[in-house]
Amino acid sequence: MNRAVICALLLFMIGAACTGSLIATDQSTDRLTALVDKVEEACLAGDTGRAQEAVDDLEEYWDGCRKWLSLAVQAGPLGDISYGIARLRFLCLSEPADAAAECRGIRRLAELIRENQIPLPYSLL
Amino acid sequence: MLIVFIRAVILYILIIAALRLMGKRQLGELQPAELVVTILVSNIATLPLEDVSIPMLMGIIPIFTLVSLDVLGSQLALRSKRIRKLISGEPKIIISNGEVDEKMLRSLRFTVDDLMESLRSCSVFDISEVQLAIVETTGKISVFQKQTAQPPTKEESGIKTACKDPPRLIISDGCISDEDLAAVGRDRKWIEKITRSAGTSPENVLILTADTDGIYTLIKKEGTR
Repeated sequence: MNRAVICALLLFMIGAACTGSLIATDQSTDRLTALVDKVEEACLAGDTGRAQEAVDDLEEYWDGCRKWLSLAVQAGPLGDISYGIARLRFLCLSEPADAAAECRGIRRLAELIRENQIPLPYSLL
Repeated sequence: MLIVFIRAVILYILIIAALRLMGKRQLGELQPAELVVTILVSNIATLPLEDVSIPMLMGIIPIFTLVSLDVLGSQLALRSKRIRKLISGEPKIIISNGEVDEKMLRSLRFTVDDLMESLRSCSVFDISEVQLAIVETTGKISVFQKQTAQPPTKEESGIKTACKDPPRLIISDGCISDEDLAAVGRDRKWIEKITRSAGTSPENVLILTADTDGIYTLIKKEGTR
């Protein structure tokens, strides 16, 4: 096949993959934030049973999500989120207020991951 | 450690694929755009190798983007002289009829030493012998010597020669190239004949070259001589 055609196809595929990755990152960080919100709500309400269930859901979702996010995002922020989620289960039982603070931290990291993927002037430059 | 090894293998294969995609032009003299791509590709490729926290795609995507843009850019340059001039620049004459164009020399930021060095590399030691010297878009200088300084050609010397192709490589390390054999108008029987007369067999020949006149050079493999 002609080199130019291969390159045009490659550019198209790269463009599609980048757009797809942006949409998928947006959706997965949305879902992650929603799950973190549930944990935070349960912790602030002092309902440890519901909080544990919410942490279970969050951990399950994060296990799958982290693997494919690592294709597009550097390991650093993903590791920070994994560390935060791992702490949540114990904080929910012992220190609900700290657990809520940890949830805010995880949410902010998820937002940063999303923001860094969007080609805005400040992230481009 | 294993991750770095696997990444190195994958990147090696992908970079070879990328360079093959750029074509043979890339392997010769580099145009400015090609030089930029080559430098960038070699730098980008090292990032995911040095730091395993960086996803491999962060290396692969820019490499293929740059290579694709370069190939598409060169395709555009093929079609449009204006784009070609914009991407690669144009050749500049720096010596005309033995006289150096100082203005051009300065605009190209060439020193006299650079110029003399380039002339010497073209086997020209006397600047007055140069009819025309052109700085190509690759930065290389092409020199055309004055007729009086050029050695006479066979035609000018009245020596009659036939125009024929150079000898072809017929056997390389015991392997016969049927394509080259056909190009010199011979067949396998001819190979058997000449190898037998040399006291060997085609499998034991290291190099066999031949031209269309049937003049050949045969070198046997070590140990069979």
